[in-house]
Amino acid sequence: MLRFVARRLAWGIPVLLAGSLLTFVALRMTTQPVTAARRLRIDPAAIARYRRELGLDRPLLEQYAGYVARFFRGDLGTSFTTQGPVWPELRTALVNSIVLALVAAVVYMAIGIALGVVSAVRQYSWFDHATTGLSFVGLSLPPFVFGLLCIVAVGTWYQNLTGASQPLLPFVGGVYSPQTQGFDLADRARHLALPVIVLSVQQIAVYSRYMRTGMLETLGSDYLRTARAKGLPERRVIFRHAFRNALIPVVTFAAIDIGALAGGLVVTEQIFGYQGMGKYFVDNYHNADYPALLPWVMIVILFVVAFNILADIAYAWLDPRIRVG
Amino acid sequence: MTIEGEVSGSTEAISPGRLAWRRFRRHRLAVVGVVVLALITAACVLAPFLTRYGPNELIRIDGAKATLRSPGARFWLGTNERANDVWATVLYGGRISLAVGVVTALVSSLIGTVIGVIAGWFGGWIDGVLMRITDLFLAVPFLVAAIILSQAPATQSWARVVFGPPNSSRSVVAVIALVFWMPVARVIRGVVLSLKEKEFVEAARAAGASDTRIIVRHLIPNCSGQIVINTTLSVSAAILTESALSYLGYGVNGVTTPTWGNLLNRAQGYIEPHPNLLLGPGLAVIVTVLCINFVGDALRDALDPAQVAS
Repeated sequence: MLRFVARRLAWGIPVLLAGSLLTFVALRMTTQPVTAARRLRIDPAAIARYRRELGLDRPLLEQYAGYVARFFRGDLGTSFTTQGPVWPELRTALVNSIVLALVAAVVYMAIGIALGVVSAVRQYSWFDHATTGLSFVGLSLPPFVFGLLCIVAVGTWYQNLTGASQPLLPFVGGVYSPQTQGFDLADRARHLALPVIVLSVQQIAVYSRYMRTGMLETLGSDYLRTARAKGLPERRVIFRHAFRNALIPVVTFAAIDIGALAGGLVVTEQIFGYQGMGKYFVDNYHNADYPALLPWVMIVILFVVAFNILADIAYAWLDPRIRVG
Repeated sequence: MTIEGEVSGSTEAISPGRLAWRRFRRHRLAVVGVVVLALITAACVLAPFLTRYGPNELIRIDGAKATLRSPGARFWLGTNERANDVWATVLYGGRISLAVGVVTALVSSLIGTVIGVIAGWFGGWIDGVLMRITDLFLAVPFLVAAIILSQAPATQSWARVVFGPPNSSRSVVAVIALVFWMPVARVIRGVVLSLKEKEFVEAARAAGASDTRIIVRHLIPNCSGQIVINTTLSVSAAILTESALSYLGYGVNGVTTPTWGNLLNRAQGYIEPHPNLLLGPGLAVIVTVLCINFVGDALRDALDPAQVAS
């Protein structure tokens, strides 16, 4: 097992470095800070000074090496737009995205897995057909069309229908209401509701289909027949034998999936003005603020690679049929 | 029309193609999907005959710009903020959106197939390098990669050789294809790895067939089921990605060329009280993608019987 982990790490580190180098070069080639500075009315001379101070006029490879070294020493650099340190803003975005990802993951995995199990156990029942049909619809909805419809629904339609003066749920302005003081859980939850719903609609579809396929596969396997032949009650056959085995691929899939969520939900966060990693990228890319983006790239790829390795380890650990050396 | 299951006693040979068609036909929704897709495509292709106005035609009524009219007999889906007929923009926009979806799917499948076959067949360090490149592309969130790539033609003149002018449909095709090929490459590599051990491939090799011949005559035809399935499902994913890129402002230029994506993007400022601007292109995207997904699922069942039907 230790050798297996070491081998995966030996895969992960080059992917992290090469991936970030590639993105680094691509970012540098496609951003024009001086043009963006004019738009933002930042003094181009200030940008030129920053570029010199930060060594951004050096050869790309040298810059990349310097930036990786600084990143791992904990120095994330200075932003062009705010002219302050990158880390506080990036940390807020990362925390917001992690909160959104975790809350949403609990919701959509619970619902998706439950739906998948029930439709597999009752294959070809009306419930199964309804779930399959709805998951197709969920997969076909563009997130921003659905998101925009949600906004109209909780705003104007709800207000017209009930005569309320406030929308049912807040849909702009991000993570919490500006007038709140301190940490208000209820307020946070209300701001999370819509992004979680939009994300869940797609993911429930993905997970229920995935779980259904896995369940059908295990339900048709020989060891399930053995379990039934031994005279075990059906409930025990389904939960102890089929469900737990069908869950293994879903767990690995989920690990990869959650790692990717650290990159934020570019579209969903944009719709609701939720200040997560996706919105952070879009905003800073629009401003050509590459010093702010480079640590973002590093963190996102770090998460993706780490959770991929975690998924492999979980898979090897959960499934005794896989012996790794 | 033959009657299914009524061939008792006869030993009539069934070609794989017909067998696949039989399995496909069992999925009634997929058959409906094919019909609906054909209708949508026909409507978009025949747009000039089905619309009274051009997609960018400024409509004036009594000399005044007819902006934001409600749906009615004259404007089936109303008019938008630029005084264009929404029905016309949806049909003409569909031409670009469907073409972008199909071409992107074909290009990304081609890239993925070539890389997957080469990696699977040659193995060794070639496989190692190609699969590491695949991992690399998978490590960057694909929408982020697409946004960065979409800016390449605007900032680097050499990139225009591949991407064409910035914000053109060609550049959107290239951008999405470049972030879509990885899953196909992995699937095809897996299929080739298992085909490699089969007797017919060994026989071909023993008969002295070259690598190229084995790849073209034996491997690719045997991957065709997987290629067709993946290409079909890529079409719907590409249409959704085009609309997401347009929503973020990195898609096809909406001033000259309407697409479903940039129509949706512009509609968001007018949802209330003009939901028709959102619902027109929105329903077009949803119905198209839904139908393609139904068809793709039935194809998976028809062409890849080893997999559990879901």
